[in-house]
Amino acid sequence: MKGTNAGAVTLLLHAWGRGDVQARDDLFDLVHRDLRARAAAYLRRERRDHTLQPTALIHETYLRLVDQDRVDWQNRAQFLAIAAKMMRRVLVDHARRRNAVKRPAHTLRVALDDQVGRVEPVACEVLAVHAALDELEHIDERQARIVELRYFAGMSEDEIAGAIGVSRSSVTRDWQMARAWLFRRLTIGTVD
Amino acid sequence: MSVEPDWARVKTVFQSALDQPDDLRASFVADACAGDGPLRAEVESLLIAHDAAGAFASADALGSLTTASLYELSATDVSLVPGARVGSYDIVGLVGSGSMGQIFRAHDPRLGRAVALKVLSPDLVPDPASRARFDREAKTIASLNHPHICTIFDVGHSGRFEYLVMEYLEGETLTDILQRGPLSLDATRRYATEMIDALDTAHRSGIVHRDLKPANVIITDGGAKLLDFGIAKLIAGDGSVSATTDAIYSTRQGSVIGTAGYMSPEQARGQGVDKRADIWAFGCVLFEMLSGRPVFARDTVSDTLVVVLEREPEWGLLPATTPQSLVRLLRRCLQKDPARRLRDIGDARFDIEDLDGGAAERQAVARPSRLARAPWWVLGAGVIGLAAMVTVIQSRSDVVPPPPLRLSVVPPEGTTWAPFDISGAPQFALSPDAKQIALVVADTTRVPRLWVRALDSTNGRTLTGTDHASGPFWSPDGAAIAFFADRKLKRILIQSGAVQDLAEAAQNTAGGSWSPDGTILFGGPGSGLLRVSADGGPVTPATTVNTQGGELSHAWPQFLPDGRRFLLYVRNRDRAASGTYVRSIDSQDQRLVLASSVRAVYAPTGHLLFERAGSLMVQVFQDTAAALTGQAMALPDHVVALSGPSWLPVSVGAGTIAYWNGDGRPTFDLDVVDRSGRAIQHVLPPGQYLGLDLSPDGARALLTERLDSQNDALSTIDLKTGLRERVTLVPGIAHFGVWAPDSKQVIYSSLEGGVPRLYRKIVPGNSPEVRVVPSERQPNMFPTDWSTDGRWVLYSAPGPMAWDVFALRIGDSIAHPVVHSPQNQIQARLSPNARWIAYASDESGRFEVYVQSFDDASGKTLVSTRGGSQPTWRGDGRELFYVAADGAMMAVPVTSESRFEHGSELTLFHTRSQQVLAPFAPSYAVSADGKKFLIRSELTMGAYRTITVVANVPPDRGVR
Repeated sequence: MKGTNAGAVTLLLHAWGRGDVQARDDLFDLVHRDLRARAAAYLRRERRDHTLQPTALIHETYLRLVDQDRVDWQNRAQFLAIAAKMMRRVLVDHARRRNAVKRPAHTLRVALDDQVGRVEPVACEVLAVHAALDELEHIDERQARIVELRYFAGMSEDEIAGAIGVSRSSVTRDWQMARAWLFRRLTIGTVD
Repeated sequence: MSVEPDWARVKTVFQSALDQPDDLRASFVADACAGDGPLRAEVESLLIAHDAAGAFASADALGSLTTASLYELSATDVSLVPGARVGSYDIVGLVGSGSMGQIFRAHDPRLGRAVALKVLSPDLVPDPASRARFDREAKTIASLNHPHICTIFDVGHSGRFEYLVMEYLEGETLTDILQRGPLSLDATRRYATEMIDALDTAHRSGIVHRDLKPANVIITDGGAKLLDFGIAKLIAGDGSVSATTDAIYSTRQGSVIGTAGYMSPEQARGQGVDKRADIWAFGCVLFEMLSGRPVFARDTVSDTLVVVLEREPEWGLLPATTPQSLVRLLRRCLQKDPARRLRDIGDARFDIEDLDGGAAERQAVARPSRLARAPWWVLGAGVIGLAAMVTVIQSRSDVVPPPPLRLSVVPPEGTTWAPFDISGAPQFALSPDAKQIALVVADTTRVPRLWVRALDSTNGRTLTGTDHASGPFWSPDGAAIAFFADRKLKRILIQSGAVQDLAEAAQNTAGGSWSPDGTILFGGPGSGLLRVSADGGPVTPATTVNTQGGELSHAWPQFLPDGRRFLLYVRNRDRAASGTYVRSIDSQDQRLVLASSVRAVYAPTGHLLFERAGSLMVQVFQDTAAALTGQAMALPDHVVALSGPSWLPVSVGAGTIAYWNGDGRPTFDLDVVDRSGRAIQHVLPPGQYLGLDLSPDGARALLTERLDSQNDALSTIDLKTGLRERVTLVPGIAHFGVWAPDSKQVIYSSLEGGVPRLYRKIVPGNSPEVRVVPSERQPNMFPTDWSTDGRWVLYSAPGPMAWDVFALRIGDSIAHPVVHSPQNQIQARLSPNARWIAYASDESGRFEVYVQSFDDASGKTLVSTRGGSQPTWRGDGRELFYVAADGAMMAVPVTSESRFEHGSELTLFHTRSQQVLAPFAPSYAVSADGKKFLIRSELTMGAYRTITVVANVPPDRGVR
């Protein structure tokens, strides 16, 4: 399973590193397909006690798909960017689906889930951030990347710093500003 | 067009401003922008947004994932490849994935042995602050050395991997094995003993497993091995309990499903956890080994937790052959209150060991040294015509002879217990000398008859001439049995088989008692007790119901030894005044002995037996003073008790008690099936579903589910999404409801604190329950139908003689009797054109389905041909369904609606249910188009409802 994909992913990463945009898109599809196939296989097995936290998923996907000896940190950063985009897509799809399903106001099940489950950002926050982030991308590409990695891929600021090759403090500063910008965009609209 | 400030400059000023102390920030921005108005406006606006953003986007979006999407996303497998080296171990291959990470087979080149490497998921890797604790606890766990605990050799970290090095085991997990079905008793005993040893050793070292479940038990050639001892705590932070459960709840949604079913109630509540949590989990695993099914696990975490916290295990799922000592052990392990739970796992050994029975062991009964701790022996098993199990209990006291004798009695082959009797009369009776037992059993034609067997024999015989028998009781000399049948009190002489009618009796058995001087007291057609000579003759009233004092009925007489005084159950409108009273044939005075909603039973040993919270209690009863003294003690087994009035399935003879034990309630599948009975949809996992209805639009089910002996709950279930919503939120019982024709509201009954109520409520939602008051005088009301035009609700309620059908006009809440006669009429349904009413009545001696005019009761037609109940109309009124006495689902075409005419009936399919003859609790509902049936089918036929007979009860101490 690993062999063929690992080789392909590594090649695509190198191609993308040389500026081949098509390689990036192919990579995206490959990773996404791989993930879906595994999800399906998983669901067939129905092993309920088998799970990983989503934050670990990108690392795991990376480790699974690339030939570690032949990929340098730059490729890794590229890969993480891809993975973060992929997570963003998954989460946005998920949020849209959830928004579509109207949940009854009060049920025992919901009450219990709320008690048991983690604190959830409302689905519409995910969709709002997704839309506003598209705009931010045009203003500050790096900030948009950082939001993607942090918000959609759940990476820590240290991990992001390592992944995109900047200092931790500049990741923090960029995140603060991007967050302020997004918040303003989503609450009072653009300042024209 | 406004001037767009330069983003790079905005960024510089904004980010530098954040570095300033708050009070200097404004002046800093003013200075830095140096007269650049747009720049300053932009920076200030962003700073305001920054301050106002609060928690916006601070949690990552991954939190929005539900468990289901987590599954999809977490489908990641291999992260380490064969040949890779982790620490000093060479990876051989992936073995499996657990909730905490992946498990690899690896090779330890230094010792030349295979090891298992458990690589923790990255999110479980301890942060530097808790590293010391992690290593320390890992060492403690590694110090555990026991043949039935998977040994941890080493803990290591290599790069980003955290891993545990463990003994490599070849075998299957208990989960895998149990997927193929339950274990044999022998295997269960062996593995349970090994698990007890392992847990005992660990507990003595102060280590609690915290996550014991079948997935953590590997069955190897060398027996059971427990995995992951203490790992739950190891990875959970500072080791505090709430951290454990939080970690389980918040980051491991997937695994919590696998874990929640074994989680003790205190863990589920996030309270303190000690070794008793392991004892609970051990009980869960033991139950599952015996039954092959998880005791508490449901499809979702929330459902599972509800079951863990609120419900009793379904004891009926245990095989009938399960030794009583194991059942007792399970009960002690699965006590929801940890304070009442088995304290020390080591104590469980004595309940597990020495069951090997067999002839050799019979001798051992006399071996005092063994008897001191071993509580019981199996003496014998299945016998011809009667599956019975005999066990001898050695009481823990020093009193040796005679040991109490315990038998389980089930109906002879080819018969079943008689169908549920509306009156709730116990369908068995011990003879006064406790040498014989009479059972009411039904053969394949479902006709109930008496069957008598001597307790010391394995054979019994059916008594002819006792068709439709119910509520038997013995003559004091054991030569005759009185019983109720066809609305008569009858008597049969056992030797000659001669049957004699003694008197007219109530439709619903209200019990009887036979005094030494040949007087019989019994429940008559009225509400008071009657008196007749055991040889027949005139019938005279024995008691008069004091209606002024709120009394509703007198029932269940029991003579005391003097043959003059007797106990009786009095139902009073005031619940506190309902209970068991003592009075005398010579007087109208009576005195309350015990207030209760269920009758008490007098034992000639000088005890009173009664039900309390599902347990059968024994308390000393002084005959002369007719008063209870001393402490009430609970029998070890739960007794079956409907929370209905006057019902306790207990019979007592000399020093011997017989009772229905276990949870006693059948478990049902809930399915949607088509007209051929083929399942289209499995609606819910098996449960104790008491009643159901399908909304006319077919989208939702209304379901009554029993939670425990004191509670049931009404819920709606969306058949498409499976979403379930409680309709009744307050505790109560007898919540049976029907849908309104608009599918938007329901009407339902409720008994709260013994007071019957009817409510209607809009569902789903939080709208308030609206009380519907047809009549305060009715002791029970069970809605059976809400007419298509919305104007009428039909319900069953006790009439003057038996159950009758009433119609409640929704407009003015006035109730009208619709079908009333001395017989039972139940389960009424109005045809869609509101002209015809279909119902079940036992006027012919068995229940049949009839149709008559709703307005004037004219045109009565018998529809069923071989017994029937639960009629239901198709939405267009062109078809009538019912369940035949043999359980077949029948369809009758309705050919004319103006005058009710019907064609010949069709058998659609066989339901897997006993005939439902209760005035409530329908077992099916049909969609408006007549194509889909929502049906509950009984899963545990026969496995529940065994009679336990405990003989040689120590007269002074009740039963231990």
